[in-house]
Amino acid sequence: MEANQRDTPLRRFNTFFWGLALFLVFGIACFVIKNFIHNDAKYDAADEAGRARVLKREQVEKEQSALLSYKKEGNSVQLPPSALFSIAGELLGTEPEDSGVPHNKTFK
Amino acid sequence: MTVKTFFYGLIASFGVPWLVMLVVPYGSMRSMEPVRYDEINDERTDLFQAKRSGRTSNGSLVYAQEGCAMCHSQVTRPSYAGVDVFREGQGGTKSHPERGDTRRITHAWDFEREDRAHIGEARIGPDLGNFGNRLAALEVSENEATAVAMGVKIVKEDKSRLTQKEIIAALGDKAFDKELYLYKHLYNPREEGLNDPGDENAWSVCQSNPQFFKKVGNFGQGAATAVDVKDGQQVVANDRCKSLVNYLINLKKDGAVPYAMQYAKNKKKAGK
Amino acid sequence: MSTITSPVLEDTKLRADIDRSLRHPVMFFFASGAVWLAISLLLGTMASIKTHAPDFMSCCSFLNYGRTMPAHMSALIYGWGAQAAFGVIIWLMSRLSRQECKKSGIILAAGHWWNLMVAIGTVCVLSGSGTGVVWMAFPQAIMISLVLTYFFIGIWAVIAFRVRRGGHIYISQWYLLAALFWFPWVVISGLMFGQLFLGDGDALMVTASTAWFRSALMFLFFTPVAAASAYYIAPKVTGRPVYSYHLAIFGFWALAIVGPWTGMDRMMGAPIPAFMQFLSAGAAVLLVVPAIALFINIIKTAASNKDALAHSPSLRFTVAGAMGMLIFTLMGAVMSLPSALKYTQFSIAQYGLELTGLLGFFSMCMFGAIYFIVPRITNREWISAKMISLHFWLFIYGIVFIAIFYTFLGGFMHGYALEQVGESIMASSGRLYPYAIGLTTGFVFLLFAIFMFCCHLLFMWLRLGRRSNHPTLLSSHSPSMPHGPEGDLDKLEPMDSNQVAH
Repeated sequence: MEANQRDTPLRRFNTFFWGLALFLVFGIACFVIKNFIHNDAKYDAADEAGRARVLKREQVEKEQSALLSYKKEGNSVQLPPSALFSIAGELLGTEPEDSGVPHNKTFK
Repeated sequence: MTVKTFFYGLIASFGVPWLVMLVVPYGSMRSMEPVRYDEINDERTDLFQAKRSGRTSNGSLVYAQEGCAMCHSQVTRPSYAGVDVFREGQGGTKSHPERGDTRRITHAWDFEREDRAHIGEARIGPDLGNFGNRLAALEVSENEATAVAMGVKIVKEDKSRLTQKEIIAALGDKAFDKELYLYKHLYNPREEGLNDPGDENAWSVCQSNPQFFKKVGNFGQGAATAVDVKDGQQVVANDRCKSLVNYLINLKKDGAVPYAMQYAKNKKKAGK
Repeated sequence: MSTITSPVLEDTKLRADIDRSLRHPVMFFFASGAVWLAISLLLGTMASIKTHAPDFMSCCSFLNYGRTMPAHMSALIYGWGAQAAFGVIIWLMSRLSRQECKKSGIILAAGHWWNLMVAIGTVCVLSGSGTGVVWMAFPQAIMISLVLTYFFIGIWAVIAFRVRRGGHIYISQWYLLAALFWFPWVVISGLMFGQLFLGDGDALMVTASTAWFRSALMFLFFTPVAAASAYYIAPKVTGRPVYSYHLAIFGFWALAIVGPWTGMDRMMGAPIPAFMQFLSAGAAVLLVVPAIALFINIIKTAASNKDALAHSPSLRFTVAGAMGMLIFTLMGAVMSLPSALKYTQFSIAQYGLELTGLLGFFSMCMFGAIYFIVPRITNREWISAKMISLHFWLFIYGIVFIAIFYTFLGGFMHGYALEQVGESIMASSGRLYPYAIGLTTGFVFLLFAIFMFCCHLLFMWLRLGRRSNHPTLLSSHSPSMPHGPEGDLDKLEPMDSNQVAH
């Protein structure tokens, strides 16, 4: 019988590991493609709806702060709350003391 | 043909359809851009949100494991692929008392929160895509019929009808119980008089499912949802049955959709 | 043994060595496959009975239609189909590459593991913990284990091809080599996209992937293996070359190019990209092309030796298989036309079509191969021509009945009823009734046939076959020996006596 040039242990060994590699590489490629390669932008209608609510809130806050800005009507003056913060802080920091205002009828 | 050309050919002839039919659609379907309502046609501008309720994940799993999809589909095909949408109750109903024509085809968000869309193998049984809606309609008609039989007046003196809530309140424990109805159906689909009128269900080839029920002692008044009582034992649904029934009751695919997604554009405008 | 010098004898000895090296794994695959075929048909009969007599044994929930049906299909595909294919692949590849198998122990062990997995999977499906996907109903862990086991069965055939003797590569080898690669590609893709890590994906594409998987497995694994077997048996038994080698190569590439596009037509009308649905429907029609190529080649080759066709059981089954392929693809083409798909998509036609393909085409070719291979690896001839004949005719009768009456007539009647807006589901269920009984009848014929086959094969496994150098033919007054010089085991007598101690 003619000798078979192809049949060498190296060729058998090579084929086994090439086969194994192809088998595993396809599996891993499938796994990676399916689980990791996709559009990162995950659209979620609930999130989108939430974004609309945030916009609304920003708008409301903006309008409210506009209403609270400096205004003068007759004798009374409206200051923005932030203008009073320093005074309020000072007042809160002071010790309580007798205001001289009566509390009850026994005040003399 | 050499071995090399053979492999190139094999990889190309497999790779192209693999990408086109599997990988790319899979990637694009998993991150679909949401549909925005159209200001002119829908008169609102927010995003369309598909609503699902019920035990969609574990109910759906039981549905799969028990092979319900072998006989029941859950899809209303567009008219190029079948007449599904014109079948009363399958894609919605033609004349809903409040919403008018609710018929529509199944859209991609209808299976949200389920692992697997149970499109179905065959229609040996009815399509279940809108089963929850049909069951709700059955509840209404059953309750009204019971009310009439019990002498409850459903039309008030000022000609207005009683609401469902009022009817149920008037009926008390005689009111139609959707869960009990389904338990009974799963226990024995051919039970006489399960459906009104008569024993319409006797034709059904649906399987009876003893695996969904357990026997417990019958104490006190017994469970309201017992499907059978015999010699001191009552047959009640187990957890798998409860999640399946909850899933089935909530199978509804007739919610309003934006104008852009409507199959028939001459329908009543959505969102109204 | 060194005295053997004649090239003919040398060749015969090489063949005998190959057969001996593969005797255990091949016989194991065939015998356990046949048992799984019987189990699958029993489950199928049970499922079929349940569609017209739903209260039959309704006390046992594991026999419910929703469980027996996927168990039946899974046992058919992984128990019978895959194992019969493995047996044919490893034997045919060794024979055509003229290389002995040196790792039959590993193949045998992998075969046992495969059987264990299929058994556990079937029990899981019957006990209600399957996945509910028809061709992949086994739990995920079982499927992963099956794919890994496959590697240790298939790789040796690839190695045998790589170290083949001789220059010419036969058409069967191309088919086998392609099947060896397609199987893991298809199963891994189906598994990855349709079974594992589902929560993050899209429910519809998961279902679509499993639909693709089904037809890809049919056309990229079962079909090429059956074709390889047919392209081996027909020329071998008739002693004539294949009618047209070019046509065979054309048929192969037609299958390779069209096959992977099919399957999505089962999702027609579902909200997935519409081009996929229509592409698949078109591909299903185009599949007729490779089927015609195979059919012409096999029939022309077989017709060149009418004696062999009349007497050889292998050739008779193979020719029936080639006809089955043509009928199967023609039916598939008609059913997938978008105008017909309306009726067939959700009717019983689809299940009937799968049965026609798996039993009428694939199994027929596998029976042909088994009737050819088993006498060679056991050194015994089949016991009874009567049993082979009964197997053939009962099986043909059952599957033709299922194909024509249940699939075509029943499928369209059922589909027609489903497409009538006015008709209730009760009416379509009523229309189904006679066809459901027809399916049970068909299954009973198949069961008788497989009972014959199974017993016969198991007797052969127990080495109870006839010790003779005259092959078992379907007619006793055969003038020539259609199986050719290969039946000449007597010439090996001196060698055999050396190795009789094994």
